Amino acid sequence: MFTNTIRPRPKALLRYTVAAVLIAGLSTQVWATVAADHTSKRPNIVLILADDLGFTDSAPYGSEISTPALSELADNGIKFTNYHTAANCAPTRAMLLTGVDNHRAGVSNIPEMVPPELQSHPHYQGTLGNNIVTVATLLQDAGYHTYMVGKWHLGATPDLLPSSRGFERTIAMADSGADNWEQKPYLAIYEKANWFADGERYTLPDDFYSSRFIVDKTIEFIDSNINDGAPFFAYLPFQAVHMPVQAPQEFIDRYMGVYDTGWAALREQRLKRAVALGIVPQSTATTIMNTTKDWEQLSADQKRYEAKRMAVYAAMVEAMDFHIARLVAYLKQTGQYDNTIFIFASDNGSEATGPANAQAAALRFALRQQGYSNDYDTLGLKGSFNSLSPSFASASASPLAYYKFHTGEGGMRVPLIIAGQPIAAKRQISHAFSFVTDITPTILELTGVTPPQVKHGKLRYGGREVEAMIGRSLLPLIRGDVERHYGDADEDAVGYELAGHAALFLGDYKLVLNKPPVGDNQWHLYNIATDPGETTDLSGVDAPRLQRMLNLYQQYEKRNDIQAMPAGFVGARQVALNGLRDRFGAQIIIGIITLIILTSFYAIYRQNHYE
Amino acid sequence: MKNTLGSKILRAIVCIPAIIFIVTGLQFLLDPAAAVKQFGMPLLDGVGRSSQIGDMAGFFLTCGLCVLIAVSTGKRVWFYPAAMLTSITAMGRILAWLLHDAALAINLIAPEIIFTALFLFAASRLPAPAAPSKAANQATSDAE
Repeated sequence: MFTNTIRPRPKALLRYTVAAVLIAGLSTQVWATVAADHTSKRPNIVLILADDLGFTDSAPYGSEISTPALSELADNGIKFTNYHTAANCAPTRAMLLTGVDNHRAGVSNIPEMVPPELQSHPHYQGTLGNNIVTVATLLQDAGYHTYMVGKWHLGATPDLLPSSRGFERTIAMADSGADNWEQKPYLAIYEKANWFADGERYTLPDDFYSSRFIVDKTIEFIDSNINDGAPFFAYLPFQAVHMPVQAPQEFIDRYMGVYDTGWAALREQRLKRAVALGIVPQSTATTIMNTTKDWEQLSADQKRYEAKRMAVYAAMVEAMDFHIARLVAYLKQTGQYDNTIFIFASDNGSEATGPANAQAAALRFALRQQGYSNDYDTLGLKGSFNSLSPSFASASASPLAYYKFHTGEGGMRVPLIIAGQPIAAKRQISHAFSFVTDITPTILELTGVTPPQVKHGKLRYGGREVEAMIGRSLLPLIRGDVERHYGDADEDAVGYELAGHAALFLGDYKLVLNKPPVGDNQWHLYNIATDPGETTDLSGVDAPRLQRMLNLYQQYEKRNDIQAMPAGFVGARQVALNGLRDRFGAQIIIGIITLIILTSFYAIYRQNHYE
Repeated sequence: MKNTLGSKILRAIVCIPAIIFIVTGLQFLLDPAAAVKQFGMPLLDGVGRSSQIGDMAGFFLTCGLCVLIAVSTGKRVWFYPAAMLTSITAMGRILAWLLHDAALAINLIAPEIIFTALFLFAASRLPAPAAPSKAANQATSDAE
C-alpha cells in the first residue's frame, strides 16, 4: 500500500532548487544593499545646469559678472576649459541625463524645431525615448533620493515628465522656456507656461522668481528626507539666463554703466581675463562674427539701451549665483556640504536670437500681444521681455566664434566645474576635451552605481533593452591619473549634429560645418587646443586629417541614422510654423471649413434670389 | 416683406449666430479641449467624451446649418428647428437651475433667448421663395 511513497518528481525538485538558489541570492543582495547603505557614505550629488550661459559669463571663466558661489566651487574643485555640450537645449539635457547620444535618445533637436517630415522618426521625437535609462533612475534604484526643480524640456506627457524618469520629487517646467516672474509663456507658440509638480499640473506661487524658487524647492525636498541617512541627487536646471532675460532690480543696479563701452570692448576684456586665468592659451585669436554690429554706429540712445540689455543679463547671472550660494550655505548649515559633489555647467552657448533692434515698432507691437513691454525703465522686471542681441551674445561667448544653435565653439564650449570635498581637488584646471555625455558616467562612478549591464547579449535595464552610453567618466581626469581621456584614435572621435550643423572632435582637432545664414555651409578644420577662437582653418594644409575626420563623421551620421533636413529648412522659421500649427492649426482648419460651408450656401442663395 | 434692403440686413443678422454655431460645432469636432472651456465643463473620457463631442457638435452644426438653409433657399420653415433647439436649450438651463442645483447661466441663456426670437422673427418676416416664372411653368408643362 505504501510502495508508492510521495517523492518530489525530478522536475519539481529542479524548480525547488532553482527557487532556493534565487531566494538565497536575493537575500544576499538585499543584505549587501542594506549593509552598503549603512556602512559606506555615498556622496550627495548636486547637478546645476544654467540655461544659455556663455563660455565667459561666470567669474571663474573670465567674466566681470560677480559669481562668488561659482568661484568658491571652482576654488574647491576642477574647472574644465574644453568641455562641450550640444548647441541647444533639449539635446544637451538628453545626453547629460543619460550618457547616450541625443539622436539615439530620441532628441535630435528641440521638439518645437523638428520639421513635419521627420516627426515620425524615432530619433526626432524631441522627447526622451523609452529606450534609455536616466542617471536619476539608476541612482534612485541604488537607494538615492532624487530631486529635480526647474526646466525639463524633455516631454510634457505623464510618461515623459521627470516624475516618470527616475525623479522622486519634482517641480518641472516642460517648455523651452518661460517667464521668470510669473506663470506666463514667453512665446506665442505656447498657450500657457506648463509647470508640473510630481507629474500633476502646478500653479506657481505669486512671489515667484525662477532662480529663488528653484533653490527654495530643492532645499525643501532635501530637507524633507534629511534624517533618513540616504544620499540625494538634486538636479537644478535653472531658467537663467534663457530669454526672457529678467532679474531683480537690486541686481540690475549693480551693472548699470558697466557695459557702456559696448560689445567689442567686452569681448576683448573677457579674452584678456580668460588668458590670465589660464582658461584659453595666451595666443588665442578671435574673429568678429558677421552678425556683430559696429557699436560706434549706434546712436547714444541705442547704446544706452543695449548696455542695459546686457546689464539685466549680468544681473540674472548674478541672481542665479546668489541663490546657488543659498543652497551651498544650507548644505553647510545642515552638515551635508562635506559629503556633496557639485557639478555646474551650461546647456549650450550664449543665445543670440534676440533682435538686433529691440525698439522696432513691429517687435514692440508683437510683445504687447504677449502681455510684455521692453521699455528701458522697466527692462528685466515683471512684465518686461529682454534678450541679448547677437552682438552682446558674441561677447558673452568670448573669445569663441558663433553661439547657440551653431556648432562653432561659442555654441558648444561652455563652463563645467566639478567640486566638493569628496573629490579632493583644489583650484585645478583641465584642458582635456570632454563632452556632455561624460557627466552621467562620472556621476555613476562617483556614487559607485553600476550602469546597465549586458544580459543575454543585449544591454538591458528594468526588463527592457536600452541604448548604450557613449560617455566616459571624468574621474581619471579629476584624480589626475590621465591628461586626457579622449585620444586621437578613431574610436575616440565624438560626433555631433544639429539640423545640419555638424562637428566631429578628435584629439585636439575639430571638424565643423555651420549652415547659413550665419555659417558658410563648408567644412572647416581647427586645432581647438591652440586655436579655440576657430580662426585658422587647417582644412587646406592637413588634407589627410580632414579626410579622415570626414570619414569618421560619415560613420557617426550613419551609426545614429541622422536625417537630412528638408530643403530650405530654417530653425527659427520651423519653430514659428510648428507653433502656428500646434497652437492654431485646429482654428485654421475650422476657419477654412466654415468658409467652404458659407460659400456653398451663398452660391445657393445667389441661385435662388438672382436667377 | 419683399427682397428689400431690410430683408437683406435681416438675412445678414441671422447669419451671425449661424456662423457662431457652425464654428462652435466644428470646434467640438476638431479641438474639443478648447471648445469645452466655453461651456464650463471638462473634456470627459471614454463614452462620456464620445457623447460630449458627438452631441454638442450635432446640436451646433444642426442649428447653424438650418439657419443657413433657411436663408439661402428662402424656405422659412428651416428657421423653426433652430429656434426650437435654442429655446429648449434655454428652458433646459433654467430647469437645471431650478431642479438640479445647476448654476443659472445667464451669460448663455440670454443669447439663446435672443437667437430664438431672432429666428422666429426672421421666419415671419423674410420673403417666401419667389413663385416659379411663367417661362419655367411653360417649360414644365411642355415636357409633360
